[in-house]
Amino acid sequence: MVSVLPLHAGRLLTGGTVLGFALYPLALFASAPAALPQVDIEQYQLGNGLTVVLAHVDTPLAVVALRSPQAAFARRGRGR
Amino acid sequence: MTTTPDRTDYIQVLPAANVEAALWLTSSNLGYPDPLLHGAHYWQQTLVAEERTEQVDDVPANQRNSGVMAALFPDGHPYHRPVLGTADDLAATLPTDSVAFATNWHQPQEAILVVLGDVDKVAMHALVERYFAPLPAVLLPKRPVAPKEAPSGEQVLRSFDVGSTAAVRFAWRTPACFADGDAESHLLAAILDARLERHAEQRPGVVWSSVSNSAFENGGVFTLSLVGREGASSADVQAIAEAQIEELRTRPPTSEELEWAERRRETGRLQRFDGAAGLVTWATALRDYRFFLGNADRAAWDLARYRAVTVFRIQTFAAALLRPERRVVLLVEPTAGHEAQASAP
Repeated sequence: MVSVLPLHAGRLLTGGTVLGFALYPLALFASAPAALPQVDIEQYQLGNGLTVVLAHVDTPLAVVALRSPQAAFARRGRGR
Repeated sequence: MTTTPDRTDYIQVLPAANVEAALWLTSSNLGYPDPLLHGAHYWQQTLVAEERTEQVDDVPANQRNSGVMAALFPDGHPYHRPVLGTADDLAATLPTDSVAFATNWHQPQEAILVVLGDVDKVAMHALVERYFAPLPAVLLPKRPVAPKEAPSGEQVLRSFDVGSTAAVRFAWRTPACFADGDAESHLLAAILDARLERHAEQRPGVVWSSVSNSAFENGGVFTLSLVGREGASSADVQAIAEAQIEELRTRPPTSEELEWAERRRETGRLQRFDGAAGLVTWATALRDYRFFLGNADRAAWDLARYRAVTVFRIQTFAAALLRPERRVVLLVEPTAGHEAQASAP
């Protein structure tokens, strides 16, 4: 269950959540789903509006991903 | 870096101990792109133009994709024009255009940062605060609204391709990513694709088939593609495609097919979460949940929505979607020579 707790000005922290991924690796053979893997997630916004999602998984690696809008919706078609 | 019609992702995979370096670089990308844009504009312009030549101009199938998308989404819609732009667009772009786009849109309010891995959250809070909190919020322009109206009436595109095989593609507009009907679109595509594959021997005129659905922020595309055997005309191949659609009406999806499609989707999703590449899939999935649904913690809901699709719902959806008056038909006719170049859409 996701709980949204006010942390301090300009920021919301979604805390203590466990991503219970209802995965079904054996679903082709059995009806009972397996619940793997689990990811702890926190998500909040900085004062400047940047949305931050932090997720912990047991792995020696890390991924840093930034999503930014695509130019298509703002493109004016200079070449036309 | 990957780009779709909706967004650009800047992704770094590295040892968890070195995550601070990636945050620093990402912060620099988001907060201080101007020197990069000015210094590298013309170099990047040439690079993207070459990329476009390789991926679009030299690949007739991708040229046709652009034609189909332009027919499905009317002028003014963000998907009407190709992601890489036209050659003229690229040639006319100035450094000031790149800077203006970054100033207007490549801003913290429009961005989502995902950090996933063996990272200490307390330490991450401090690092994110250090590298991203100082970036100023700016006043963004009003975001354009994509027109919702779809073209009415069947549209037929004809293309001539050097070669010996004819091909036919049917394309329909489908709901946006995570919208009502999105799950039905994906499941219906899987069912139809499997039917074509299972009964390939009953359609000897076809050597290759594919049915898929792609969903974006402002709409999706359901595509049925067939490539004919040597000697078959596009009319021959179209007749096979029409029969397949008609069969869906007379023999709608069954509960067994639906259950198979649901499980196939779930297991496919599991496979994509495997290994180092799976970490990127995880990160982008969390990003999508946050962007589209306002909450990164929606993976269980995402899987459950497919389980919630009933046979009645998918039958109703199929009947409403796959109508001739809502589709774009692309007919590719084989030709021996010079007329191909002049006639491609």
